[in-house]
Amino acid sequence: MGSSDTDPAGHRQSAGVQAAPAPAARAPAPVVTPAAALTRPTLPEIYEAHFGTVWNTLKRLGVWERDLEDAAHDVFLVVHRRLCDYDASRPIKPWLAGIAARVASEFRRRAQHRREVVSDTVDERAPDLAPSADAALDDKRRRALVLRGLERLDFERRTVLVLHDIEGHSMPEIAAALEENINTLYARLRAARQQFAAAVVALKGGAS
Amino acid sequence: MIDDDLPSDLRELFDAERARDAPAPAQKARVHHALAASVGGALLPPAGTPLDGAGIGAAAGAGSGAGGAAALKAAGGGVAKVGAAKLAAASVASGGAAAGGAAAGGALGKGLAIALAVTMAGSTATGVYLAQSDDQPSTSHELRVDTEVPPSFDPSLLGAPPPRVEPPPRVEPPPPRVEPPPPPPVEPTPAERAARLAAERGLLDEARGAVARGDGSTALIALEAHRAGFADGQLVEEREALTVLALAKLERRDEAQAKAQRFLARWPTSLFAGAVRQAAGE
Repeated sequence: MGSSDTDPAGHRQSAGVQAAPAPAARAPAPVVTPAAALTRPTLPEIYEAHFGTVWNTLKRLGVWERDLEDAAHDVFLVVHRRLCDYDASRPIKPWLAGIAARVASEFRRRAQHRREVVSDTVDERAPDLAPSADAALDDKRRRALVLRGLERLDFERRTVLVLHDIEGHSMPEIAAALEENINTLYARLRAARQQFAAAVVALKGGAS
Repeated sequence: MIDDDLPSDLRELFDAERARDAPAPAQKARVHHALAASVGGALLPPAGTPLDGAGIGAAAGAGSGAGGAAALKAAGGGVAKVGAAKLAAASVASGGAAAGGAAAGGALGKGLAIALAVTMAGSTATGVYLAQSDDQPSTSHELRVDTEVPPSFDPSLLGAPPPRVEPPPRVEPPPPRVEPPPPPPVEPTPAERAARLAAERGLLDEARGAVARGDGSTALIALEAHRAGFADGQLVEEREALTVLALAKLERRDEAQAKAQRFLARWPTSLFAGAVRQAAGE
């Protein structure tokens, strides 16, 4: 796979550094309490516990199916590098989500360079949401609709909608993870919901 | 409350999306494999990966041709085994020196064995080295033991408690250098520094995890691996702090206290000072 191609070190490092420049710039000398530093979870523990979550976050943020493995790799590589900055007294999930958002942003930027705009994760046909006897199938269609709707949002709105409304992170946690102003994020979330709701209506209308 | 503003139809959609399946195990395993190549020894194999007996993959330095590889046997004895050894990313190829890459393996969770492969600078001899360091997966290689021991190798930490305080881990050269990596006079590039740091971090993560589990002997193995590969590394302070904690876990009080004293003398204002004092029972 791509991550074991030539020059993995150089390539991966540049990707990781680009993906999450802010913490390095802000915290060259991390101040973490000794207790936090010595009880911090290890990379294998984080990988085992959170791989699935990171994967789905990347997918929801619009990373292509075929890029998901590389993107997930980059997320955990950044985790590995930034682990010394991580304060173990704070919840890890928003921290991971912030890293995933930066990596996803980078992969989407690259995908645009490749002139590939529409996500290949999404079925081109709008899903038929008429109730069926199969509840699992209904949920599958709903998920397809969600990804379709998210495609209509710009990345910033999409990110806050995914992290808050779908993944359940609190707004203060998201503000800390993304290093953004919380009031800006509230405004963005409202706009994102409106746009998403309109997209869903449009997609449903197109399907029936 | 903004959460109350969410229309019910959207809520239903989001509930469905939240229940999305986890990725396939094969995808998780592939990413794990790639990640292991990138971070050296900082990753253990995922659950369910078939392993041979006592060992898991250690890494081989993929850097320069110079040097040997050091492998440390577990405290319990036996031969460390090396399985799949693929490490490219953490290597540093800087003019035939520098630590190539390091990996700690050996079913650390069970404390059975650990193998570390570090390419060493120039002709520096290493204590124990791998008979082979190619990348044949799932094969076991016995270790050959060399008589020469690197100056930083501290075997007393791995064996039975010595009756007296062990000598300082290394002789401090006069402090003219600014850059910690010893081998080349050429200043390492940021990428090389990052790779070295990643390899160091991996070993200390193993040690920290073992200390947290109360597994002092496994922690000492990883710490000794760090000491052998990165005597002047960027994370020496943390290594020495963890060594005190690991010794304390093993109830090797005299050694822990001696180490703690040296630690506090060298880094009196360390962030780890409190934890070190506590572990040493001061």
